[in-house]
Amino acid sequence: MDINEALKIEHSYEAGQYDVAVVGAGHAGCEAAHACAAMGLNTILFTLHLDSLANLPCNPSIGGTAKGQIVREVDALGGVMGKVADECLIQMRMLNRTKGPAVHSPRAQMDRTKYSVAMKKLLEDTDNLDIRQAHVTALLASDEGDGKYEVTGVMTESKAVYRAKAVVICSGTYMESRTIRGEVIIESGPDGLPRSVGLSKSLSELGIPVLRFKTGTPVRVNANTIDFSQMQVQEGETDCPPFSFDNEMQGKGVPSEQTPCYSVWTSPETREVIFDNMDRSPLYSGVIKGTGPRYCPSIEDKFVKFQDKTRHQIFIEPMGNNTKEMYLQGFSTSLPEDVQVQMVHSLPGLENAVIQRSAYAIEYDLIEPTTLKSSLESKIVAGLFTAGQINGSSGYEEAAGQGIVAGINAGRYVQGKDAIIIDRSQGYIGVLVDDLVTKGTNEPYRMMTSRAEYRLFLRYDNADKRLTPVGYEAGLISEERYEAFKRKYEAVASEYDRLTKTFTGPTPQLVQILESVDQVPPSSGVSMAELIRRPGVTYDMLAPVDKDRPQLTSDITREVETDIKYEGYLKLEEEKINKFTKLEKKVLPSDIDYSKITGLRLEARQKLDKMKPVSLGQASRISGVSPADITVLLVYLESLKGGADVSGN
Amino acid sequence: MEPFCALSTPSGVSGIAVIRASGEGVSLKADKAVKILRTTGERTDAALSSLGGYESCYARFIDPETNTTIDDVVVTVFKAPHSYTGEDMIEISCHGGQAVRQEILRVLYALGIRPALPGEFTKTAFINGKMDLTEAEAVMNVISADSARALEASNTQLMGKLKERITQAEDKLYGALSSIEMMIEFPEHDDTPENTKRIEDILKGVREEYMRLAQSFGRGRLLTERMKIAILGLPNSGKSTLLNFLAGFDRAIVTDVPGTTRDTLEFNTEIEGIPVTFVDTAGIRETEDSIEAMGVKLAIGAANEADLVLYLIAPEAPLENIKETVSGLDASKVCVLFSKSDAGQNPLKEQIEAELVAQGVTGFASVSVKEETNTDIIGKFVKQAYEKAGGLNASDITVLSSRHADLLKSACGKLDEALAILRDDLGVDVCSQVIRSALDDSGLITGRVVSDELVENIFSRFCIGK
Repeated sequence: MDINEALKIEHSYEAGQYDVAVVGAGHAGCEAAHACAAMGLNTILFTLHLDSLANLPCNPSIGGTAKGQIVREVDALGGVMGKVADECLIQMRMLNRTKGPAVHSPRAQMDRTKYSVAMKKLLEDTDNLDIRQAHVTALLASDEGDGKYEVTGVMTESKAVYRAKAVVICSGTYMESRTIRGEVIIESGPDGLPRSVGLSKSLSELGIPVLRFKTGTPVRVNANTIDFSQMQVQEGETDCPPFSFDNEMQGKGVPSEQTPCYSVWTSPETREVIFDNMDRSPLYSGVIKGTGPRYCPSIEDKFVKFQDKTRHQIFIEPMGNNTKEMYLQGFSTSLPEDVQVQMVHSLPGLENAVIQRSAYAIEYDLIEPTTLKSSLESKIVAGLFTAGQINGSSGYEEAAGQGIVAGINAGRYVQGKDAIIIDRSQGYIGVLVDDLVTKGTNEPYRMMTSRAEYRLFLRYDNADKRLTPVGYEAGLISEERYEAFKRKYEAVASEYDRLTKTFTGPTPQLVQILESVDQVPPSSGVSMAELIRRPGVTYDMLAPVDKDRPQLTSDITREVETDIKYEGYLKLEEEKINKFTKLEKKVLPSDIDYSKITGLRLEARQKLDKMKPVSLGQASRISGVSPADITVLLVYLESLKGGADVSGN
Repeated sequence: MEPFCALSTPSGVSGIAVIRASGEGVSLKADKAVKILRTTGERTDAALSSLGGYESCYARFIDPETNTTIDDVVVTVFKAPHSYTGEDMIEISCHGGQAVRQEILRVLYALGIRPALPGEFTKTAFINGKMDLTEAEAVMNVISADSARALEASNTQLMGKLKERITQAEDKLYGALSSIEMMIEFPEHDDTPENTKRIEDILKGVREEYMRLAQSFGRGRLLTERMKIAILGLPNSGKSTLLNFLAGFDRAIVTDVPGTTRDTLEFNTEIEGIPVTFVDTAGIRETEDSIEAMGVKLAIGAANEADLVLYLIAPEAPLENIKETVSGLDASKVCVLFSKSDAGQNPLKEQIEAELVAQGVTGFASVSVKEETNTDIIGKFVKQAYEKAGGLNASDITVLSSRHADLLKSACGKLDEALAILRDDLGVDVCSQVIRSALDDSGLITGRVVSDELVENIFSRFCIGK
C-alpha cells in the first residue's frame, strides 16, 4: 500500500514527515535510531510500549562468548549498548581467560529495569530523535514495477500516516507472536506485552518471504524462597575492563561491589518430571511449528537430545538490585505451568521456590534474510532496512550489531551515499550480517566465535582499532574520541617498537622471573619482545628487568602484549585475510546472466541467479555453490577481463 | 561450451585410434561427416544426432566438401550429463593410421568442432562436477602412467581412495575442533568436554596418518616418475656396454678408449614390470680434459639422485679409487657388479668386497654382458631396491603428486604446532586456528578448498585429448 492509498482509509491522517522511521525499540531499534539521529537525520523511533524500551525479556545479561566482542564492536562504531550496559551492570566477568586472547569475552549481569530506563533517557536526550509509542501495522511503499518497491512511510493502528525516506524494521519476536505453555496458547508478545499485528502481512504483500521461528525463556523465581546455601556461588570480577572504549580510555573500571550468581545441577527428579510430562510438551506434540534455536535449547530438548547426560547445569541470576526476581538460565521450557512448578521444585535449593513469571515458548514472524543486501537493505523494497530477530538472529547483542549497521546505512541511503559494509575480516558484526544475508538460517542464529574465520583478529580488545575508523567515517564518532583513539594506537605502536629494541642479559632477576614459569634463562642478551613470546611470560611480569618502561594504561599494554605474543599466528591470519580480500574484490557484475555461463551446475545457477552475490567471495559462501562452480566463475571473470567469450555465444 | 575434439589414444601407430569430441550439439555438428551404415538399434537411415545416449553406429566417415570417404568408423554417442565431461559427447573409433586420424580431425575442425586445449576434457569434467580435484589429478597420472603398476595406483586414487582417507582424517580433526569450540562457546558450563588429552590424541593420530600418506609419495613417485638407476664405474668398466645391452640397441658409443662417454645418457624401460630409467654416466676419474670433467660431475650428481646405483668394477680396477667413489655415495643404494667376468676376475675382489661391505654395500655379483652370464642379477637388484623403497602393493593408498605430499607435510607441521600450543598452554583459540590451517592444506587436496592458481596449474599439465 502506498501513502496515497493509506490516506484514503477512513480516519487516517498525516502525522509527520521524517528522514528515517525506526519500528521497534529493542536493542536493534535503539542502535538504529541513535545512529540515524547522530548522523543528523530527522528520525522517529516507534515502540509498542515506552516502558519496555530496550527490554531484556530473557536473560538479564549482556555479553558472553562472541556476544561480548559484538558489544565492543557496537561501541567502537559509536553505538550505545556498551555505555548503557556499563551504567547498569551489577556483575561482570571475563570469560575464557585461560583459553587464549581471541576468545576472552566480557559478560555482565544487568539490572534489567535500570537498563530500560537508562536507554530511554539516553535516547530522549538525543538530538533529532522523536520517540513515539505506537503500533505500526503497515509499511507503505510505492510500486516501482518488476516486483520492486520503494519505501514511502508507515501507518499505525490508530491510522496515523508517517512519511519516511527510509524505514528500519526491528520487530524482535513481536510480529504475529504467540506464547505457548503446554496446551495454553496466548496471542501475545514476550513478557506479556502487546504483539505486532498486520506488519508482517504488509511485508509479505510486497513479496518479501515471511518465515516463522520459535524461541523461549525460563521461569523467574523469588530469591527469598531460594536456599542458596547448597549452591555454587559465582562472584563477579572487578579487574574487567568496561564495555565502552570511551569509559576505558577515561580510566573508568567496573564496580567493586558486585552481585553474585549461583549454579545448581538438575536432580534425577527433574528428569523424571520432564519425561513423565513429555506428552504435554508442545514441541513434541507438534503444536509448535516454528524452528527453535539449537544453541539455546529448552531443558526438555536437552534431556531428549543428550540422553547420555543425566543432569544439566542451571544458573541462577539476579534480575537487578532492586528486585528479588531471579532468572533460571538453562531452564527454558514450553511445558505447562503446573509441570513448571514441579520442575522448579525438583532443583536442589529451590524445593520451596515461588515462581513470579512462568516460562514460555514464543513463536514469531521474520523475513527471509537472504533477500537482504549486506547493507541490510531489502533487495525488494528500496529504502527498507531490517535488523535483529526479524532477520533470523537471536540475542540482544546480535540485534544491536545489526541495528547499528542498518541505522548507518539507512542514514547513508537518505544522504545518497554508498553503503558501509563491514566484512568478515573486520568484525563479528560482519560475520553475522554476511552469514544471514548470504547463507540464511533455518533456526534463530546465535553468534559464536567459531563462526569467525579470523578470530585472532576479531578480539574484544582491538574492536576500536578495527571499527572506530568506520564509525568515524559514518559520523558517529566525535573528533575528540577519534583523537583519543589515535593517541591510544600511537602509544601501542611505540611501546611495541620499544619492546623489540630493549634488551636485557640473563640477570639474576630475569632468571628468577623465568624460573617461576619454568622457562630456561637466555644464554645472552634478549629483547623484551622475545621474552614476552615465551610461554607463561607476561608484560607485567617483566617490569623489574624493564626499568625504563613508560607508564601505560592496561588497555594499551594488553594489546601490545597480545600483538607480540601471538605475532606469528596473527601474521598467518593476515595472509588468510589477504586471500579472502582478493576474492571479495572480484566483483560479479549485477547484470551477469548465470544461465548463460556453461559449466555451472544447475543448482548453482539457480542460487546465484536468486542471490545475485556482489563478489566471488560472497558467491563462494552460498550453500549449493561448490568450489568447482567458483572455478567456473573465476574462469568467466578472467574472460571478461581478456575480452574472450566463454559464455558459449 | 563450444564443441572441441582431440585424438584420445597415443599418437604412435596402432590398430585403432579413438577421437573424442565434446560440447553441446556435437553430434549435430558431426552429422554431415558421419553416414550411418547400421546402428545398435538396427536402423540404417538414421542421422548421428538422432541417436540416444550410449548408442553406437557403424558408419562411413566422409569429407562433406568432396564427398570422399576417409574411413569406416564406429561412433558412440553420449548425452549430457551422462558422459565423461558431463556434456554431449561422441567417440569415433577409426583405424590407427596417422593420415586417417589427421583427416578426421581436419573434417571435424571444419565442421566447427575446434581442437581441444591441453587437459580440456578433464577440466570440463571437473567443472561439470563429474570428478573432484584428486580424481582429476589421478586421471592425469593414468594418462602418463606407462606401466601396469603405476596404472593400478592411479586407479586407486581415481576411485577416490586418497580422498576417502584424507576425509576420514579430516573428520577426526573436525571432532577435535568441535571439542575445543565447545569449551570456548560454553565456558560457564562445567559439563563441557575439557579433555585436552583426547584432543591431543586425535592430533597425534591424524598427524601420523598424514605423515604415512606423505611418505608414500616416495613409492608413488616410483610408480609414475620411474625408478632411476645410475650406472657408475671407472672409465672403461663396461657401463655403456651394459646400457646398450639393456636398451637392446647401440645408444652410447662403445669403444675401447677410456673416457668415450662424456655425457649422461638415459633411457626408459621396464624391468620386472617396474618402470625404470637407466642413466649411463661418464667414467668416474680425475681428469684434465675439461669436457670430461664436467661429465664426471654429472655422473656423481646422477648417482646421488638415483634410487639404485649399479657400480661396475672391471677386472683391472684398483682398490683405492673404488673406496673413494663409494664413500661419496649412499652405500645402501649401491650394488656392485664385477663386470667383464669373461675377461677374468679382479684379483682384489675379496678385498674390495670386504672394504665395501664395511662401507654398507650389500649387493655384489659378477657378470659378463658380452657372454650374457648372470645378467639376470640386475633384475633382482632392481626389484630389491624397488621393494626396499616400498614400491610394491600399488593397491595401497599412494600419494602420486609432489603437490599432495607437500600439502600433507605442511599439514603435519601445523599439527605439530597445534600440539606444541596445547603443551605450552598458549590458548585453545590459537590451537584451533592452527588446526584450521591444517584443514586448509588437506582441503586443497580434496578440492574442498579452492585456489585459482592451483586449478589452472593442474589442468595445464594434461595432454590434449583427456
